[in-house]
Amino acid sequence: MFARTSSRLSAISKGVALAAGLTAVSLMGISTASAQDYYAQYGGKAGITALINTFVGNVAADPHINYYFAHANIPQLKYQLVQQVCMAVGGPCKYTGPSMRKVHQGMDITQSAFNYLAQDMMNAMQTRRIPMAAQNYLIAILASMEPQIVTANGPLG
Amino acid sequence: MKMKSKTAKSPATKVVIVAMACALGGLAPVAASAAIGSSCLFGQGRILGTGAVTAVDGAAGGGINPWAVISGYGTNQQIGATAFYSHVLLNNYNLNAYGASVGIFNRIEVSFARQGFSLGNTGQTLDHRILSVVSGKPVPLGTSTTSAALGLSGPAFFGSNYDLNQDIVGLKVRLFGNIVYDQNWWEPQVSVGVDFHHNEMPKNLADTLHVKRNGVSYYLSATKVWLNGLFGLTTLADVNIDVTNANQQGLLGFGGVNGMRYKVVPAASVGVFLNRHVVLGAEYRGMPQNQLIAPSSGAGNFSTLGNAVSKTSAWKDVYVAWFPYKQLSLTAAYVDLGTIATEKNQNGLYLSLTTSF
Repeated sequence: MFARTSSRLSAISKGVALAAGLTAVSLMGISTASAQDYYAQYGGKAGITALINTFVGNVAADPHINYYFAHANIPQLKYQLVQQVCMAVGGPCKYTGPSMRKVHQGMDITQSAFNYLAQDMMNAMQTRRIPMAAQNYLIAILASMEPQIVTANGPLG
Repeated sequence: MKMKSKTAKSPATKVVIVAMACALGGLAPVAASAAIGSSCLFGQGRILGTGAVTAVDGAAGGGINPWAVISGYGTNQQIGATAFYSHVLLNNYNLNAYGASVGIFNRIEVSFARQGFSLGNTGQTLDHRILSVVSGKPVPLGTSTTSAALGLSGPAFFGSNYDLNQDIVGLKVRLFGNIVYDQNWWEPQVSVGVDFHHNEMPKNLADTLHVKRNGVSYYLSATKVWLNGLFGLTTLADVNIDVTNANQQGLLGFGGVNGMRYKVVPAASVGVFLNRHVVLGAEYRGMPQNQLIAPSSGAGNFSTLGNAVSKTSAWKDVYVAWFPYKQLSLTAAYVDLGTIATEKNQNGLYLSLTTSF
């Protein structure tokens, strides 16, 4: 799910000395803009719909991952993605689909596939001229979902 | 290249098809059914920039510090490789370095680098300075003959075209963390590394400096990336702890008059991605201060010379790196290496190229 499950404060308490300095920078790194501001920067619902169209087009043209979606219901996929992104950037939408873990389970998705998809999204955001900070806000949320989506392990973890 | 997925019945056939698809650059749709859940052994499945650039010691990182990242763009199922060339133009010296590395399953990095530190015309200056200090009186330039008292051979030891060369074999292991995926909590990506150095300086020079020509250095590196960091830009911070006895990273050998004692030295790097392709940053790398040639409090001119040669400064730089695509990165930096072998203000331009495949 796109809901942020940040437990930063409790995590910090577990921090070791080595991480202390990095943590200080981490707190600095919290974005100053709120999610609502980003919804406007994405061009509202129309902008997000356009973004998802571009994104799904990129994925369809991406030989690294397009075969994963060979049998997907594309209109349904686009609808769910619009809802999800809209909600993630603070828009008045509600994603009601299944959890990311449930959707991807059993698909044995690789880190490589996950990253190529993220790259397709970055390219779509670039095409749609989404401001950099707004792009990064969504990409950070996407990146943190890796453990729920990628289930294929490497030889060394 | 149209093959029906029906052909991928047996596991063996499947492997062959995946291998074929990999050989074709992973682009063939033929891999469709066969490649789900599989991935090419040699690939570049990580995100642009996450392979970083190559430090002068051959490890993936910034220009002067290794970072916790594993070289190349291989994911946990892929093997990647890099090659690099770097050149540093200082006021009195030139440093060039080249090498290669292999990143295995985003877990292990093995690197090799060869560094050449060219004294150029400064060699004659050093000869002259050594002779002046040791003889205790000014010696006119041109009559420069390095004193036999130093145990160095030849009328002018360094002369006008002297190179100090060293080879470095590095091994880095990622312990935990992922710079991209760890976004909702503090955990950095952490790696440990060990560098095996072999300096090719002649034995009599090493004996004079009281250094060893072979050395092993260790480091612990923690690298954190906030994808939406400062001002919403992707921001990187790296903190290293070097455990080393290397003089100028081994270019002047290892240890000193007081033995091979290890010192714990901090290093740090920061960077901000202005967009997906350009990162601006700065680095700092502390250096141990080993006393060379003679004890600092010793009698005579040798200790004066020793104190001058032993003077080491932290290495610093300000860099801009450009990642046009995964196969290439170019880095330019202004570096300040401080005092090296009695010559102060060793700053200048650093240029580096890394290819990944």
